[in-house]
Amino acid sequence: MLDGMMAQKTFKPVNEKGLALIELRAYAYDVLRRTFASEPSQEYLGLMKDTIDQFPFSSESEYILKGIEAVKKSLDQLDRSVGISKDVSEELLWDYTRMFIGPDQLVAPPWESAYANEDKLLFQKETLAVREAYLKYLFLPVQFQQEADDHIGLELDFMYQLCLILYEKMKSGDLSYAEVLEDQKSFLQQHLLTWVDRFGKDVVNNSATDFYKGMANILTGYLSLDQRAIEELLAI
Amino acid sequence: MANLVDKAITHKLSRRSFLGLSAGAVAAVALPGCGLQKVDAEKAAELSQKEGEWITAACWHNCGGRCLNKAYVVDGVVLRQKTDDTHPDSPDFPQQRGCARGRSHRKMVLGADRLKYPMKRKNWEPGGGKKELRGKDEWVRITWDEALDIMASELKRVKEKYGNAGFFAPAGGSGGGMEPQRLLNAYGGCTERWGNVSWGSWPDVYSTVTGLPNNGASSGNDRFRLRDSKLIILWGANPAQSSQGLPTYNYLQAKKAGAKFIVIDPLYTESARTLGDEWIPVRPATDTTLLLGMAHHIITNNLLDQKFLDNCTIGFDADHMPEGADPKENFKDYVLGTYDGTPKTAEWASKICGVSAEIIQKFAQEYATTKPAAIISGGAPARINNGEHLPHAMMTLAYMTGNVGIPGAGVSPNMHNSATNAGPALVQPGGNGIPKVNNPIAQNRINSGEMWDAVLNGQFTESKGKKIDVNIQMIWNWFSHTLNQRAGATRGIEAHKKVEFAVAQNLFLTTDARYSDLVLPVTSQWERLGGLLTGNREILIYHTQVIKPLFEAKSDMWIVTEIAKRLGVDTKIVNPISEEQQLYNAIAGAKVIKADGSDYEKLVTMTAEDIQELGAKGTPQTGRISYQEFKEKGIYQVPRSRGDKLEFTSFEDFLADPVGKKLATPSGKFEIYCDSLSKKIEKIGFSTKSPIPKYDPPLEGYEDGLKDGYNFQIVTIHYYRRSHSTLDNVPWLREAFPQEFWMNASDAANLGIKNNDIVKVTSRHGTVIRPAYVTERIMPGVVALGEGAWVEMDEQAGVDKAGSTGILNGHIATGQGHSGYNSCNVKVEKYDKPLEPDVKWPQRIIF
Repeated sequence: MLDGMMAQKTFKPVNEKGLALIELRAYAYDVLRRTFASEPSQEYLGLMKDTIDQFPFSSESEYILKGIEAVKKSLDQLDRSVGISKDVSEELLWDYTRMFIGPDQLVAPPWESAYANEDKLLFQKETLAVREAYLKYLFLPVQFQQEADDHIGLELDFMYQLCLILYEKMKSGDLSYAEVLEDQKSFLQQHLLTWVDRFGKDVVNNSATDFYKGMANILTGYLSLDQRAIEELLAI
Repeated sequence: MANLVDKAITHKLSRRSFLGLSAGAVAAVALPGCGLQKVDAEKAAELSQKEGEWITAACWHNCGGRCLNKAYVVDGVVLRQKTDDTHPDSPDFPQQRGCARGRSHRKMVLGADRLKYPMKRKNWEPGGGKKELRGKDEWVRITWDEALDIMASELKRVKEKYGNAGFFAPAGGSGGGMEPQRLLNAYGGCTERWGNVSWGSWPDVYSTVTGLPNNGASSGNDRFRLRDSKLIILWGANPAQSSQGLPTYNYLQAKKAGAKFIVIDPLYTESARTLGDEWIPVRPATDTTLLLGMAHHIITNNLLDQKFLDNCTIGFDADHMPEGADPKENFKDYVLGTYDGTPKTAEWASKICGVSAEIIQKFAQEYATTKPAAIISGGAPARINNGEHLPHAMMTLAYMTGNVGIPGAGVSPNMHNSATNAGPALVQPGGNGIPKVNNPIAQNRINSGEMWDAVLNGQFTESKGKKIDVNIQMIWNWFSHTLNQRAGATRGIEAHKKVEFAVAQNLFLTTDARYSDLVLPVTSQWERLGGLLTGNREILIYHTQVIKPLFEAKSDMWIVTEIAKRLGVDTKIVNPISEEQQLYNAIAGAKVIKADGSDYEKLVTMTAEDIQELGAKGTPQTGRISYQEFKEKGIYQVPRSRGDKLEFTSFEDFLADPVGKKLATPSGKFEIYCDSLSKKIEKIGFSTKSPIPKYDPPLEGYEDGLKDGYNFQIVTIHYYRRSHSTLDNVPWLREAFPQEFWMNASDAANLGIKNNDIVKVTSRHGTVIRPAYVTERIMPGVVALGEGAWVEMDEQAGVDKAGSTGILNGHIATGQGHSGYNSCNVKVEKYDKPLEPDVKWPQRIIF
């Protein structure tokens, strides 16, 4: 009994560290999924302006550091008291629309399958593979069969959702959290990391705003760090 | 490098922040509207590791062929395609196999460049809003509600201010009466477009000269009777390119059976390569002179089939003229030059058409002394300005030699879906049961050759001598890619920038859509319930839904129905019958011919369960095949064999009894002197035509080019990459078929142009740039470009980089109001800037 209590006490600080890292990972994925899943809302931009500084691990990644600087530069142009000006938010809206929506050239199509095959097709075998991963955790896109499952926003949302599951499991002492970590690791390796580098480069090279150039750098920088985070968590 | 776990513990997160974990509850953290959601375990298990299935997928385009296309689908993901494997292949019972385009459908339907959401032009506002920005403005994604509200309010506004004639709904070649027109007609009517696009000057000539109520495309011999031919002349017909699927294979069977092939074409086409024993290159828009030169040889060398001429035709010579006609106006005397002093000799013809007199005479001799010999034309030679003389002269040549009405002979533009398989359909769908909505202002019809001028200048020709004022302020494009595909695209772009409102509904950001204020994403046939497709006379295809509608795409009918609700228009008029019921009507009404050819019988047996499965109302029926078999195979193909009762040759009945089975012409015979044709053309009001075939140089034909330095003639060809303009955006096809500009090696050498150099091609109407394909496969003085490339203007340089032939072709109305794409003069020069291959161009991608 005493031993058991001792043991618990011994492991508790480590778990707290683990939980803190998972919380940060959830935070990072939350920022990233919102950035790439839909057009920038006023509320989102306001939040970004106030909080981009606290995006984790700028000290560990030049990309993240560079990205945060660029995002700040983009959003700091304006007078703090009036919030995000109409001009800036329209510029960002157009930048998003042009790169991930249209017209004429989708310079950075935000779907894994568009990078996995040379014809930039949607709803391909990558879509099915991603769907299979989602189904294990009983997830499906809200717009199932209308929006392709391998949209960057959905893949990032999946990583975010797994972070929440992971957190709950670890917090409650459910040792199956390791399986979630393994699944996150393989999802990163088999999906996001296979294409996000190229996607990020396309955004950096084609974006007309520091904001999206910056967010693309944060995205690629963070995903490569997240592999490390998973390894560390697995080692706990 | 510090551990991330250690860093994490000291990292501070503000509470006014992103959710991260701070909300605590998993349920609260869904992305609004676009993220992942939880499903129950049962559904997940059902969807996981699911097996796919083969579904008959529509291959629905206007390509001139029709083949069986199947898609292997796993829950909305189309992994691969295949074509007809429903039975073993043989020449007599061939498979209906698809082409590069059909097999690329997956790459079109699922392309990242699909229109996904309704979008409006950023600076659009009611009445226009910086109209000059059309084609280059920014776009904003909007909801369907907003898009439909804009449609309704603009329709109301334009109607109130300008009346219904202010709406222009230019349907495509076969798009008349489709959804937007149903709505507009129910809302008081709209201005329409008219004028045939594909068939050139054939329709009015073929129908008035023969009395048959059609354009001749399904006339000639069926594929078995073609094997009786000793000589087949492909006159500007290139089925290997224009009618993919079976036609070339069917011709090969005729060739194996002993037919000789002579190909008349400015290009050494794929058909010429595959089938041709001889190739006779001729200048575009001058074929009439070649025909007249041949006629001269046949007359002066006593090679006429006088009996045929006497019994079956009228107007050949002075002794066989219709009552009231000037006897001097007969064909023979025109050819001999009796009254105009110009005998239409081979030498005379040679100077114009570019074929040597010797070849003309040899060709005439061979044709006149070979029976049965078939002249099979395409639309291309007749797709010229004031071009009615050409088909008329071609038909007359066949009448002079009696090469009509006997198996293996004939003269017709047997093309498109019917190429190599003339005759009535042996299997056909029932009607969908949707009644037409009549246009209350149907007199407001503008010819293709005048429509953009009418938008810009406010006037069009109603008939001879009668101009009508019109004030068009809204253009509604759908389905047909009008701006890109009709001649005069340069004017068309101006017209689109002038009106107060332009809208396009499409799968992609086509040229129409690019110059619009509002774009509405529509579903492809793969995303709809299904339907029946006809092709050659022996097949009926039943395609079914492959995937759900992608993104926010909706059917054209859904769009107009929603607008109708907002306008207070009765939706029962616009959309009277459910899709399910329409499909049932077409299947239940499908008919197939009996083996003895005497009559048709029902094709499909339908049980009460089948009808219920379709979601329709109906009565069970008995037919030749079960509904389930039809659905599973996706096709019914009529069994055929040599000597069966279904073989076909045009005019066999008439030849057997020219007196008892008169033709439906005023004379009851083939009309070499055709007053009704002459009067018809005159009444239309663009140009005139003599009752007999003569040579009347086409506007912007060979002679016009000699006058003012536009010294090349351009022909537009159907191009492997696409079906007209459809599929032009597929990278696979772009890579395989680069939209090259054909020119003869000697012409290129004179201009210092080498293969793959970028050249600038300028007509009187516009300029394009393209990589040169320097070849001996095209005659000197002639250049060629595939039609259908999507206009891609370099506004600064004033050139279209895509090489859209609509930019080069003139906005010209002549004859029966057909499009005269193949009479067009251009200049060619080396271009000083580079041009990336099309396959490397970014796709037109819009959410």
